[in-house]
Amino acid sequence: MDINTEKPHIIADKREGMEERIAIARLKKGDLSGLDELVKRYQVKAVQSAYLITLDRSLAEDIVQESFIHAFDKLSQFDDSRPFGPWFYRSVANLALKAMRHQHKFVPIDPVNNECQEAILARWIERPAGVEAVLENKEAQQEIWQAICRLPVDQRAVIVMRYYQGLNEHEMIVETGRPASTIKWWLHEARTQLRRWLGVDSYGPGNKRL
Amino acid sequence: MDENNPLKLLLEVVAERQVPAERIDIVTSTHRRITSHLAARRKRRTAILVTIGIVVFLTLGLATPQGQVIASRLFQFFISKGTNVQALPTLNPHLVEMSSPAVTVPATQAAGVPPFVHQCGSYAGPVCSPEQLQALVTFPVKELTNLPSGIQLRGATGGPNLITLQYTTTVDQEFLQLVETPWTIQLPPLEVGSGATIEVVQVGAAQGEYVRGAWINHSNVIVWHSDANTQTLRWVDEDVYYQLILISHDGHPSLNQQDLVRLASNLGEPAAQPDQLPGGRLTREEAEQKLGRAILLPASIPDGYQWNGATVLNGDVCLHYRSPNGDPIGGLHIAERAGTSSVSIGVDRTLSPLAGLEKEFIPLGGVGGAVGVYGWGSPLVSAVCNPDGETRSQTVLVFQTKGTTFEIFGPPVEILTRLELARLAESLTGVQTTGNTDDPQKITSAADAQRFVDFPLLVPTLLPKGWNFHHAVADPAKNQVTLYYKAGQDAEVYGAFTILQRPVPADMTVSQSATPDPAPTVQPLKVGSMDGEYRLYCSSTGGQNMTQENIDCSAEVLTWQQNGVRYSIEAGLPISVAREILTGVALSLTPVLSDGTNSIANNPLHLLAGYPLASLAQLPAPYEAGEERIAFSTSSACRTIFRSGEQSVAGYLVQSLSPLSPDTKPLASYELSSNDQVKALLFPVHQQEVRGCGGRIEDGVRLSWMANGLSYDLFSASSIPTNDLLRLAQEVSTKPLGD
Repeated sequence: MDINTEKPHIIADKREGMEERIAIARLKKGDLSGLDELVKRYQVKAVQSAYLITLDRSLAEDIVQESFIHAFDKLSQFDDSRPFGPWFYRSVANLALKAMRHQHKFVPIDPVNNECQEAILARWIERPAGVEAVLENKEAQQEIWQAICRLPVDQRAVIVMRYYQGLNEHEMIVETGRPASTIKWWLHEARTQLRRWLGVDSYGPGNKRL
Repeated sequence: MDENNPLKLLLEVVAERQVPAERIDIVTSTHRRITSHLAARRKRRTAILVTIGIVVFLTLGLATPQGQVIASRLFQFFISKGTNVQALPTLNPHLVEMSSPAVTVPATQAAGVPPFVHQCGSYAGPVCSPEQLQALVTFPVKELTNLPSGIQLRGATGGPNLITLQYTTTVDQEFLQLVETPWTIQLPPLEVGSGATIEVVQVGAAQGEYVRGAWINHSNVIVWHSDANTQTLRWVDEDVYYQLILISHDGHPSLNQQDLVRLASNLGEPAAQPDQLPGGRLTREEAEQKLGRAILLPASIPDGYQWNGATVLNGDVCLHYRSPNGDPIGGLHIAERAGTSSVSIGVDRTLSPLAGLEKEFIPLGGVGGAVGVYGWGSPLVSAVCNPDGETRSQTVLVFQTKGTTFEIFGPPVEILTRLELARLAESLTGVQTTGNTDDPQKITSAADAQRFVDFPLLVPTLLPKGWNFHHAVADPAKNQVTLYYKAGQDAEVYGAFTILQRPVPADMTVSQSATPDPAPTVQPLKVGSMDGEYRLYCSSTGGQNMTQENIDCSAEVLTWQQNGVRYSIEAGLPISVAREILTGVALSLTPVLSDGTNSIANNPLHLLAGYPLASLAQLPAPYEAGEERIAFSTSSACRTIFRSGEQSVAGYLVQSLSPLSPDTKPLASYELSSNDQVKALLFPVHQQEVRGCGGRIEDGVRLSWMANGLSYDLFSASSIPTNDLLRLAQEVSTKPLGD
C-alpha cells in the first residue's frame, strides 16, 4: 500500500518504528547515538513505571539507566522485528522489583512518600467517586496515589506491569520468575484492595470495573 | 488490554502527577554511564585478547613473516576514546605520610628523566648517536635511513626499554621523533578521539596504523582535533614496537602520510658517526691556532660535564661544556680575555624586562685580590660565548689571574652551586682553597642542614603523593635554610616547592615582607593557631587587563611565624591545588631528628583532621575505598569510593565537623538505623565541587547525615544506585570511629 494513502497516525507510527529500528541497528554497531534516541523515546514511561514501583525518583532513574545497560548488553538477542518498548519495560519492572526486595530494610520517610496514611484512605472510602471524576480532580488524584503507594511492593509491581506497562500474565511470569498462581494472586489482591480503598467496587453510575 | 481501562488511566494520571514527563531527562547520565560500562568491558576484553595473543605467538612465533602479520593484526595501535571531548583530569592534591621526608632521593627518580640521562642527555637535549645507544640496550636499534634533504639526526636518548631518536626538519620548530621499544603486548593502544580516522598502512612487511590529529587542552576540557598537525604512525617489526611522530607548529608540515610511511619502511642499522662538535665550534687546537696563543683549560670540570668546543671572537675565546643531561640551560661557558682591565657584568633582559642580577664577593685562591665576583640572576652572557644569541645563564663568576680575565657563565644554582663554580675557578688558577668544604647549597639531608643554623629546623611529614625531598640550601651568614621538594615520576601533581626557615625579630609581623613586582594577591590564612598569609603571584600577557585567557599565576607563597622563626613555603604548582597542598604541608611540619627522619607516629592523618575518621576497611561489595585525604582548608576528610576492579570514581564520602547547608529541597529521607534514629537526607547535586576530594559532580545526588557529632556526605554521580548509597551509609554510621 502507498504510504501516502494511509491515515496520518499510521504514517507517524510507521515512521517512528523505522526510526527505532535505525537506532537499534546503530546501537548494535556500537554507535551510542542510537542509545540516545532510544533513551529519549522510552525514558518517560520507564522512569514513571519504575517510580510507581519504587516510590523513589532517584532510585527509579538509577534503575532505568541500569536497564538501558542491560538492554545494550543483550541487544544481540533482541528480535528487530518486534517493538523495543515492551521488551525494555519488562526489564525495568523486574529490576525495580529486585531493587525493592533488597531495600526492604530502609523505610522511606520522605514527607512526599509517607502520606499513605490511613486517614486519607479512609476519607476516600467514605466518599466514593467515579473514575472520570478522579481524572479531573487533583485532590482525588492525590488520594489515588496514596492508595497505590499503600500496596505491598509485589502487588504494586504487578499492577504497574499489567496496567501501566500493558504486559500480559505470561510475560509477567517470565519476567518475575514467579509461578502463575502467585502472579494471579498478587493481581487479585491488588485489585481488591484498590477497589475497596477507592470506593469503586460498586457498579454505580459513572464507575467502571477495575 | 483495554486502552481505556480505568486503572491504566489512573496510573497514567498519578505517574504524571508525581514525576512529570517534562522533568525526566536521563539521556546524558545514561550515555555517561554506558560509556563507563563500555570502558570496563573493554578492559575485560583486552585481557582476553592478551591471553589469545600469547597463545598465538607461542604457537607460531614472531620470527616468521606469517607470525608478524598475525601479530600486527592482533595488536591495536590506536583505540577510539568514543568521544572528541574529555574533561580535564581532576588534579588530586593527595598528601601522604613520608617515611624519610628529609633525605635526598636519587635524581633518577625525578619525573621525565631518561635512565641514560648521564650518557645521552635528557629528552629535551638528546646527545647520543643511535650507535652509542645500541651499546646500552639489548634490543636492535634502528635509525631512519635515506633521509630527505634537510632532515638531520638531532640526538638520541632513553633507557634500557625505550629509546627515542629525534630529528630536525626543514621547518622551524618541527619535531620528528622515532620511538623504539621491545614489543610487549601489554603496551596500551593510544587513545584517539571518535573523530579520528585510523588508517591501516603497510610499513615494509608489517602492517601499521596511522592517525592524524591530537588532543589539545582548552580551559576545562581536552578536545580531539583531527586537523591538528600531529601525525602518528605505529607498527611492530621484528619484535620491536615503533612509533614515528611528526609534530608541526605551522600549517605546512614538511612530511605527509606517504613520506612518513616511506621513512618508516626504510629503517636501517645505526651508521658509525665521527664525534662532531656543534656547528661553528672549534677544537682546542683550532682555537689556539686562530688566537695565536695557548688557551688555559681547567684542570678539572664538574662531574658529568663534557667538552663541547670553543668559539673565538675579537681575540677572546670561550670554552663550552655540555651539561650531563644535555639541556642547554645546564651548560658551562668559560670566557678568557687577555688583560685585566675592569669588568662589568651586564643583565640579560631579553626574556624578561624585570630580570636582575645580584652580586657578592667570594674568596678564591690564586686570583688578584683573593676574591672573585659571583652573580646570580640573569647575567648577560659575553658575546664570545654567545655567537648565536641563544645562550642563557643564571650564574656568573668573574675573576682575574695570570694576566687574564675569566668569566664563567653557569647554570642555575640547583645544578652547579657557588662552591662548585669556585672549585672550577681554582682549577684554572691552580690554587685550591675550597677542597673539602661542605657545600651549603647542596645539602642532601635535613639533618645536615640543621648544622648550619642555630634554631630547630622543621620538616614536613606529609607531602603530595610521589614527591620527595630534593636538597637543602643553607646560608650560614643569615642563619637560614631552604628545603627543596620536587615531584617524582609517579606524582599526581607536578611542580616543586621550597620551605624557607629563618629567625625573625619578635616584633616583625607576617605582612612586613618586601613586595616584589608583580604585586601579589594577599589572603590572610590560619596555619594551625598561627596567623599567616597566602600570596599569589600572577602575571598577564595583556598587561593590566587580566582575563581568564591571558593570566598566568605561577607562584604562591604561604608565610607564617612561629616561635620566633619565619616560615615561607614558595611553590610553583597548579593554581587549583596549590593552597590546599601548601596548607597541608605547613600543618605537618615537625622538628627534624638527628638521623634525618622525623616522628610521623605523632602526626597521623586523623590527628591532623582533628577528629576520628570513619573506618571504611570493609565496604559492602562491590565497593572499596581509596586512601584517606584531609582537606586542611575546610577541615574535612574525604574517601574516594571505587567499584571493585575499576579505577573510575563511583563516589565520595566526606566527613566534616560542619554540615553542608541544605541549598535545595531533599528528594527523600531515610532511617539509617532503627536504634539510633539516624536520619539521612538525599539531595540532588548539580555542578558541585566535592569539598576536600578534588572532585566535582555534574549531575548526581548527595546523601547527608549526622552521627557522632560529625557531618557525613556521600556524593555520587549516578554511579551508585540509591539503594547502595544507603547500604554504604549504614555501614559507615554503624561502625565505631577510629578503628
